[in-house]
Amino acid sequence: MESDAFDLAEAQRTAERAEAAPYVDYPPTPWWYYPASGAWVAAYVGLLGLWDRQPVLLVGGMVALSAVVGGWLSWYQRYHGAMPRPFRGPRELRTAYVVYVLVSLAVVALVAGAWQVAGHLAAVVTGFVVTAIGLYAYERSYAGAARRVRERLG
Amino acid sequence: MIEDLDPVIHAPKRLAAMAVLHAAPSVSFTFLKDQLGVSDSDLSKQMATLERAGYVAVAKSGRGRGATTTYQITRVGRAAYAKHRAALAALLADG
Repeated sequence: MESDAFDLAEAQRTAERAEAAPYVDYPPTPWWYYPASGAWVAAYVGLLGLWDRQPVLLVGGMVALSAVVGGWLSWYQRYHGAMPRPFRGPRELRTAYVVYVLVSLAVVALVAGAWQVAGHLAAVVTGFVVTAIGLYAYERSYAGAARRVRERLG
Repeated sequence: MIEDLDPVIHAPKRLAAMAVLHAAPSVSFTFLKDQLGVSDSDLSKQMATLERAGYVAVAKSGRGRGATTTYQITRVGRAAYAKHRAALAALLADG
């Protein structure tokens, strides 16, 4: 029987490697992901500026942006093949998750600050730039953590 | 203790498949095949065993070259995998 010859320690390693696989074995992130994400946030911030003048356009725009997210997730699931559960996985990834939270907070803070200081258009531009750069930083952090996981698990 | 190991899951290829499915809500046939390093027919055979045990559900979409097959772990499968992993850890801890 196959299991008779299967060493328990090797079984443990097999399980650990396979559990980590969806997190660390992923296809290259396309170059357009960063500007596209920045454009999505810029559009979102742009729509927020319409809340008191064009409520119908605001709601329609939010629905369209939600559909874009749904489409993106559907495409990425097929592209990746095993999109992992968010914010879980091997311990090495925790640092990258912290970077993601910090980037998210920075986007909100800088967009709000730009809006207050320099107006709506500045907030839209800030949303684009900070999101694109922040996501790139997160991706770099995640890639480094994923490499460390692959090295540990062999 | 050793009897707590699930014979359906303990076979190496099925253990790896269950571990991947435990970590991702939906997994493509291609991803599993690459991870396990097996042929199409071997993977189909292993997944059919897990499906018969009620541990995974299969979904097929599309036809021809664009057809895709994806697998999801079931609630029963998730519980069985968690129990198997706990038994494995306990056996290794006992040395």
